[in-house]
Amino acid sequence: MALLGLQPESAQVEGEVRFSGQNILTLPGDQMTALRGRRISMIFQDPMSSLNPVLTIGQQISETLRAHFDMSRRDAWTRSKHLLDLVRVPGAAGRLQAYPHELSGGLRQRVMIAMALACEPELLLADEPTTALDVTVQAQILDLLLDLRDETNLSILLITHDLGVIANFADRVAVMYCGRVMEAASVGDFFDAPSHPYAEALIRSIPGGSSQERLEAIPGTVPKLTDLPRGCRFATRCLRYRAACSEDLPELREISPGHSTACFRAFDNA
Amino acid sequence: MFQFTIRQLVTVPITLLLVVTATFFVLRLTGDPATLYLDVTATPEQIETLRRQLGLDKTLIVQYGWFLTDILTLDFGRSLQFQAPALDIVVSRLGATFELIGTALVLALVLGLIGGLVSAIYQDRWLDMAISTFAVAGQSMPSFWLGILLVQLFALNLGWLPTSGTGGIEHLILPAITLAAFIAPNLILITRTAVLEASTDQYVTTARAKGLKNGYILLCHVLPNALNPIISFFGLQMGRLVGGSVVTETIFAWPGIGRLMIGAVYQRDVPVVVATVTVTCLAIILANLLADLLLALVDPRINLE
Amino acid sequence: MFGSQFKIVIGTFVVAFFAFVAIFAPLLAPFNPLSQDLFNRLAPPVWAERGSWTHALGTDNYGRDVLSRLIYGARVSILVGVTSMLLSCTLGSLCGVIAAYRGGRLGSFIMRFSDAHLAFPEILLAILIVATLGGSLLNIVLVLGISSWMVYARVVYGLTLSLKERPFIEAARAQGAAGWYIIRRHILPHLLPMIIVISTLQVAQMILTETALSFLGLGVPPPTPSWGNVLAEGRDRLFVAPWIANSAGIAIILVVWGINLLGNGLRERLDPRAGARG
Repeated sequence: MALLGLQPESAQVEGEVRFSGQNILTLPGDQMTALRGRRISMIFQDPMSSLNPVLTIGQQISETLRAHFDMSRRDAWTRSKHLLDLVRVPGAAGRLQAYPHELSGGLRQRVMIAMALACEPELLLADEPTTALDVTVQAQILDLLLDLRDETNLSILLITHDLGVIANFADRVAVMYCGRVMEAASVGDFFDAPSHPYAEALIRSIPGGSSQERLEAIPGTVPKLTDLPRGCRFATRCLRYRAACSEDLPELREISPGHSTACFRAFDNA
Repeated sequence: MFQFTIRQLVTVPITLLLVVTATFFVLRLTGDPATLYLDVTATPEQIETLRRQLGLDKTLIVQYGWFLTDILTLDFGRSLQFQAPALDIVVSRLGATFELIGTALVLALVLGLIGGLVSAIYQDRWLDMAISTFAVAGQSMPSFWLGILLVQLFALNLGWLPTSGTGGIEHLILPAITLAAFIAPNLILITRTAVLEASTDQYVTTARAKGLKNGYILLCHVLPNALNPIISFFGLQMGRLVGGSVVTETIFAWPGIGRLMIGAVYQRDVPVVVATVTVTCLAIILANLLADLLLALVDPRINLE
Repeated sequence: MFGSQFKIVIGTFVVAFFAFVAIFAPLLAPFNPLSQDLFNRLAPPVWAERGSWTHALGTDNYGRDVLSRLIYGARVSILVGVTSMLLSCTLGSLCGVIAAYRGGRLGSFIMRFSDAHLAFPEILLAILIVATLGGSLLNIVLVLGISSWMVYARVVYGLTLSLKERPFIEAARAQGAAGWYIIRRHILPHLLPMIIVISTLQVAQMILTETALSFLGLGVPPPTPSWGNVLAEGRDRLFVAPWIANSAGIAIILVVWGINLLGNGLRERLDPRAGARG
């Protein structure tokens, strides 16, 4: 949300978001609006509530086009049909007249993707795009996203809790905890050599093959966002905790090329 | 859409039947209508003759049957004051009432929607506070007093507009404002809430993520979704509007149904009372039907149910 | 907007003030509201030229003291408002609970009937009743009480339907509790906050409607002072004595505003979801 300036006014945003060498958080409102949907677009967790129930699919796709390009209604409509074909919605021409409630969850998410890709953006933010869908549909949507990434000039930033999805999908991984990046690595490094205790714990919590094994969970609970600890935010639940962890906030530092972590202990042995 | 209309239309006669039945029993159970037609000096013989004429010596069920047949054949009886069929008189007054209610409705709609929207856009800022306070004060005000104040200011003190009666557009202004005041404050508050509620929905975030402009989002995404409670509100407020028009017509001597009704009560002109009540209820029921159809029109999800 | 605390405090204060005036009317009123003084007709109020403190709000067409009439009028208006609210509340809540709890034919008939009744404006009912029974204090309470039961019925119906499916009701039923017992012990307490909120706002509505009916000559019959009557009589002398209608109008707007404030405050307090309203 914060990446595109969509957070409610009460939200606190720190740091910067660099896109094509520019910090977009400091962009004035109208430039940000011009950027959204055009160069960076977004899809959400629940495709039902994310589509406007009283507008047709066609209206919703073509209004995106018309917001960014100088396009006639008719051209936008034709382009919308091509977009539905692109995201493999069967019978695209007929679906343009349909309302969101007449479509299945998977189709709705495809429509969301078509809408997001309408202006051929450079980056797609996908906020848990498959969480609200059936497992089989999840796989279809992810395949679609992968294909689209390969076919077009598109980068995808996928936000998910599902480590399986990450393993199949991602090139690079950034682990977030309480609003901060804990570890950033290539997907191979992340699964083979996690360096942050939180990342390690996450990977340990993947269920193993045998049914005898106990599911390993991370002890404790996530601290309240209004009452964050002063030092490392994972300190209270960390297995490798030491006193210094509650003193200062660890910065993200590189431990090997392309692999950085925000933990004091990661450098202890080095 | 067609089927939906038919389904809704079927309920009209049922509702109307209930209303007419209630009217009949209120009239009959609460006293002997014969005494209403005659003044207190009537002899028992006169009353008896009239009772036989009106069929009041028959059982209640028989009378009810007659009453229904009369209404079905649109025969409400002759008006005692005007010496003409009651229905004709009612119909001749309909135009004036429609003119008044129509103007007031448009006025209230414009005021209510704009006020509510502006209030929602400036939520919790001073403009919103001002509009909301104004609306709550408007709700607390007896609207006929507003009418009286308007007369004092514009007709008596400034002499810009006539105090009452009909004629050109200048006669319509004060009554229309007064009647609009019956529903505009509620409409402002309802619109404000509906818009605020709709603008927290997820599709609004989607619309923003698509790079749509705020004004466009408000008009094309939020407002259509906020219309649902607003239209339902209108359906429920029709009765209030009719009640308001009775009061307004009395204040401004507007020759519509409302004044006819009040006059008929004072003159004990029962046929006219029954005719006005029936016609008014029919109008309200039809207005409700219209609201239901509009609802289906703005919300594609309703058709399916 | 303003906090619910603020609304409740101010609202309660205003309501308490008018309740006090109504209860102690005989002690507070400087004159008998009915006693006429034909030599002192249409005396101007204290703020006008030639006005005096003897009749602070002036006198009306019969030389009756307007302030005293308003003070006694508070009695009538508040009494009518509260009793008719109690009547419609009892009637409506009962119908709503029965319709929802029993369901079936009876339930749908009750709700169908309430829908039909919504198409029947209270003014029409008042006209019918006054046309047949004549106007009286009792009739006006009847009219107001009968003509707004649907509000309660609809809300209570909706709430009870959803309550009925809740586990604790099913548990009570599984233990063999009787219908009325469940309604009394388990359902009513949950309905109470909502009913209190509606009732408060209804009293304001009833007072407004009573004044409108009195204004039309369908309400409390003269010479009994009710705010509507004072306002209606003032309207006939608007040109020479605008203060009569205006002081009644201000009294009405104050008390109704106070009650609305209280009701909205209570609603925000008891039903946080509706906090955005009003």
